[in-house]
Amino acid sequence: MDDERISLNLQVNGTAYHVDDAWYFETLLSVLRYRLGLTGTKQSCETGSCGACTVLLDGRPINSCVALAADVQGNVTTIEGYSPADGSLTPLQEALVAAGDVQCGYCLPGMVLAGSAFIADHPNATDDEVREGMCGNLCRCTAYGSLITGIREASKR
Amino acid sequence: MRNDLRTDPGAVGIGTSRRRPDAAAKARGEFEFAPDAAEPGMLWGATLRSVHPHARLVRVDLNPAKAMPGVHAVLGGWDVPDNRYGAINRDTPVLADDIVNYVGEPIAIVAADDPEIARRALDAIVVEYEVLDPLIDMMRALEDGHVYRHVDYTHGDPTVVGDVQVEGVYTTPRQDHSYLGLDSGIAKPDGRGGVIITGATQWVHSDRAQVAASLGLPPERVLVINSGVGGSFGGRFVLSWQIHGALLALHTERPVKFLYSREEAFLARYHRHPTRIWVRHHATKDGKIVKIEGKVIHEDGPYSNTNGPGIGNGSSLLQGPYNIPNAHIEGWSVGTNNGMCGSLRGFGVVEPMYASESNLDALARALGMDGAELRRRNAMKEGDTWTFDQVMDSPAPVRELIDASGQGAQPAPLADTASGIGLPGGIATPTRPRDVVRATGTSSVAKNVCLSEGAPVNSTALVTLRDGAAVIECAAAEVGQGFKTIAEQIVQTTLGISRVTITGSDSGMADGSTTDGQLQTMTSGGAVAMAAATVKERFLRFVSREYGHDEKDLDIRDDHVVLKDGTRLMTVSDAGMHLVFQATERFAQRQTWELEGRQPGQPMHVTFNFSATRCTVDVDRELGLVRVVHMNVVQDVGRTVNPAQATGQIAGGVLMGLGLALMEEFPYVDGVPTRRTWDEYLVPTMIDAPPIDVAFLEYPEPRIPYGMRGIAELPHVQGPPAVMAALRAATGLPLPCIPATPEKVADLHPDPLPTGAPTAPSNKRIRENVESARAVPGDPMHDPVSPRKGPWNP
Amino acid sequence: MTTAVAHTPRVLRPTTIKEATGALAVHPGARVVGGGTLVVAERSRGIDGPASYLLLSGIVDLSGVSRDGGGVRIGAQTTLRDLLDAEVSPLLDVALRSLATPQIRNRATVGGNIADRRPAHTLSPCFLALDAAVESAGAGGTRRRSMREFVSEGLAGGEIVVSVILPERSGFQRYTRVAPRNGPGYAIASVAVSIDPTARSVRTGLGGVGDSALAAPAADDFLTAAIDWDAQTTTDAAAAEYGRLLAEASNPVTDDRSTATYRRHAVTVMGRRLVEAWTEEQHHG
Repeated sequence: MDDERISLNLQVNGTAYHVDDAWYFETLLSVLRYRLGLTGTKQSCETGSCGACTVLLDGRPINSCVALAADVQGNVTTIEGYSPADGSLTPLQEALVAAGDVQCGYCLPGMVLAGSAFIADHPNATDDEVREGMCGNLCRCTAYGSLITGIREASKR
Repeated sequence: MRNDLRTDPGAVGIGTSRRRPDAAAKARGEFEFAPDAAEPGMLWGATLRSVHPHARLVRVDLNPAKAMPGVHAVLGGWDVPDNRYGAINRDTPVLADDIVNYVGEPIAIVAADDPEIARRALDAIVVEYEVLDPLIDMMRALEDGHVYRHVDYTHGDPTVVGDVQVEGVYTTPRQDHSYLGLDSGIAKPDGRGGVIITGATQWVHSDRAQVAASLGLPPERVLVINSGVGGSFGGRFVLSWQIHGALLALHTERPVKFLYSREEAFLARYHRHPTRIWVRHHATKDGKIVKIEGKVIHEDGPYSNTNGPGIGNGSSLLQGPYNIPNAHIEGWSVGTNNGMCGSLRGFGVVEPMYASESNLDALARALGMDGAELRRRNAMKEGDTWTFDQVMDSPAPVRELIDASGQGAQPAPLADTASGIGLPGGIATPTRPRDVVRATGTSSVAKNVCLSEGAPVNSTALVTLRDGAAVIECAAAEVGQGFKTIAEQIVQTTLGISRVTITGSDSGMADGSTTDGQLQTMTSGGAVAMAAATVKERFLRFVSREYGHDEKDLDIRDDHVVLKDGTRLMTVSDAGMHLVFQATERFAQRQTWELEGRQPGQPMHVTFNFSATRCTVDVDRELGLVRVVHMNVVQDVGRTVNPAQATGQIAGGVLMGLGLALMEEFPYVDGVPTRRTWDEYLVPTMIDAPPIDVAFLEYPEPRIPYGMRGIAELPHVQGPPAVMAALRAATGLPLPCIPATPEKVADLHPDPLPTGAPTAPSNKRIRENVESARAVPGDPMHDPVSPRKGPWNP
Repeated sequence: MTTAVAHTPRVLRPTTIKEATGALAVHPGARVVGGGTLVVAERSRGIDGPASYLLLSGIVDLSGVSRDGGGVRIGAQTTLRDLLDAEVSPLLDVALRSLATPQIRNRATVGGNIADRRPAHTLSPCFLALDAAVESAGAGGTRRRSMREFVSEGLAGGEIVVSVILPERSGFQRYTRVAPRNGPGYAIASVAVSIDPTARSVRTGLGGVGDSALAAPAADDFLTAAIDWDAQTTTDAAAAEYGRLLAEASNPVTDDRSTATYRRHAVTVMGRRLVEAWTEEQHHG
């Protein structure tokens, strides 16, 4: 069994992490949550279908649940790294919670990170652009209306 | 009534969109959900599950797993002190004894150093099955008498015959809750022979009773703490990992964490029961409904579990929000080997309301009448009598709701976007604008609010005022629905102060009832309001004595003690002199009774809520592709405590109903579930979600502080009939079976249903499972106020 | 940046195509990882995963989209996102956006996509319509096959996809699908077609109606003959017949997702509408 353990070097939120007892098949999600303690990245579908585990890899959103940790090169940004260190909210986070409809909130960290990449590419987005650009993030509580509103408003330049 | 839906953390009191207290933490990823928790020295639990729908366990050998390094405990059914559990009927094995009855049934559990080692330990366990024939067909189950509960009642004159009769058989699928927050939590020894369970649940007190009973512990030795809950929708009413975790924690004397995978959640957990419902409406030629007949079958899985109240709801509410003077309704809950069934948002009511609304679409067509007009003519009103002989003694503004749903914004015109995102089928759709038929449909629905048929519905809250700030303690579960926010708002308004917080929830507190049946706002909310009112009374009495004002002249407004004319005397903080003002109050809903055998005046349900919706769809009839374009939902909410939250709950529930109407189905083939991921079991995405306008009527609920009424299940009931009414208007097809997938809407799906009513010998009621059920000591279902036998107290 | 510490290589990290095929020859059980989006999900769901992974991400030669004259070479490790951004074909644009979410597109690769032959998930129908060729490499060297051959044969043991090569092709290129929801995910059935007025050729790819993506040569030949290339038009009857021939080329099953009847119907209607769309595009804009 020991030969199934590998060491990993990961750049997460600007910090270099070394993990020396990961399983060779471990996902980035698993390493972030259970080895680095970065539980803001949420585990949900494990098939890349829901977006709850979204992190940014060199600025692009990916599903950390279907990324092999051993195959991750580049800078990973999780919700912990994205959120302001002083405990405040970014304009996108504020727009999402102000738009009205946070419920269980399990989707929210992934929604925020995917949204941050989306608005960077889509200034003054329309509702349909938000629908398409954010279709990789499921929410089961809301009807998405306020999430669309929040992201659209945060995209205003 | 439309409202500003922007949330404001500084908003105070009932009627404002006060921001959730946990919103910022959730957006920053700091809010701790059950799967996020960890304990020092923690082990990981895992569960070996049956791969057969029905089999005898010839041999279960745990020894190979026990011998593995890193494995600390491996337990089987014989290790469980009392190997049955259940939230209502205690007939579900904690771990299978000698028979497995569904794919996914737990057989053995392990605790190991690491989730991967735990998984390999499961693989090492040797299970020898003798495969038995599964019972997989609900009609066969009915014929064979595998019936958990049968109800049969009439109303008025059941021999009445209408000029026009329209009947149909309608089916609804098994639906998965698919909340994002996986089933998870940690059980740990309390060091005194007991166990502490921290995880996601709807009702800490019910969990405590079930865990204690199966472990053979007194309830005081079990503490259940609710963690951050990532959605629930009725799916956390029955235990999943909790007893397993407690057993392993007590065996290993270490904390044990369980975290189900998504696939395991699909296999292990219960789903909304599939149904098959025959309904016949009798009407006069001018559209007055004179009788309804119905036969309702719920397919309810291998153990009776919570099924009794489900068929009670299903049989009683088939009539919909209409005044129908004569009725004959029968209902059966039957058992099969197709996985566990249980409550999901709108428990037992989504299905009959879908069937009867669908049949009204057919009746309207037969009468040549507009569907909305048919519903208006028969709309229930306050003072009418339900078919289950209960007077509608609170507001029932059904006609007003139907009329209001027809107003409001109209949907945007058909979009001709290059990508197709605005067309049926979405991006890459073959549908062109000229292929689209647009149509609208109107539907109206009702649901019981609170648990029914003798279930105890009560909650206790403690409110403490000190230095001008109040703290609420109430065990009601916050699962995302927003109870904590509205509890704070209720206390703000009642006490006239702005600084209010609420604590967490655990079973060491007084019982806060279950987050179910859309009951918390009007039950725990009621307790919170009463406790705050008592605190206010005590505080003002103190101020009166201490400062020499007549108590009758005093009030609290904007954090100040004021005279009735508004003159400010001092701040609440200063007036209190650092003293503590505290009150505990219990709020109980009125007693209800079992559907059959009630005396006149004994209600079956506590109360009801109503909504109506106009839905607009675009349909490509040739290919069966559908896009729901817009929904206009109007619901009587009694009193809007938080407009943003109420809107979110209603729109979200309607979208879940849209999912059930168009795509959600968890099928079994030969007793084996065929969809186990979210690539296979599909839920609506942002592209599938239409704009949903929500408006409220506010007719106060009698007997409830502030006239509040529960809101959050009815929208899920509303979704399917609203979507399907529009879809039928667009296609002219009866579409009796949901989800209405493309092959059905394109009319290329062979209708699997024979016509006519199901028949079954009603005296063949077999209670083999129900009879094995035992009462749970300390079960909150056994409320001293309602010691009666019934579906809740077998 | 990561190294296996044990002598059994659980993670193989070739940096050249030759190293990769050499390693696969020695470790035939190794699972090839392009972006990992399918492979890793399978591991998460199963009890036992593969004994080792061979990562293609370190092979520079497999990356990127390059244009060569009118043709395009798409390296196997090109992500779906980079393929989308390269704006190779409107047909690929729509297919990529409907099949995969932005997160998946940022990770999944073209090679991994077509190596997985489940037709509902793949871009293979699109590459059939674009008359692509596939270059693959094995221990014996590289070979180039037409997409038609590739979809029916797949990769041989120990082989990896090197690139997809698109010839120069002009004119109408479109992809449509029917699916159980409007949002992203698998298609019940899909049709990709290109109608090239310069080459006077029609190429079609079908998804979801066979064990793998299917070509429809009879339908292609029929429509090529039925089009009046000088006038850039054809008849309604020819459009309908083309659709019928697509259904004839199909071999669909009834499964958990839909019925064979509906799948045949869907490709029939999609085929007809695509030809109608081509005709309209020639004459209205």
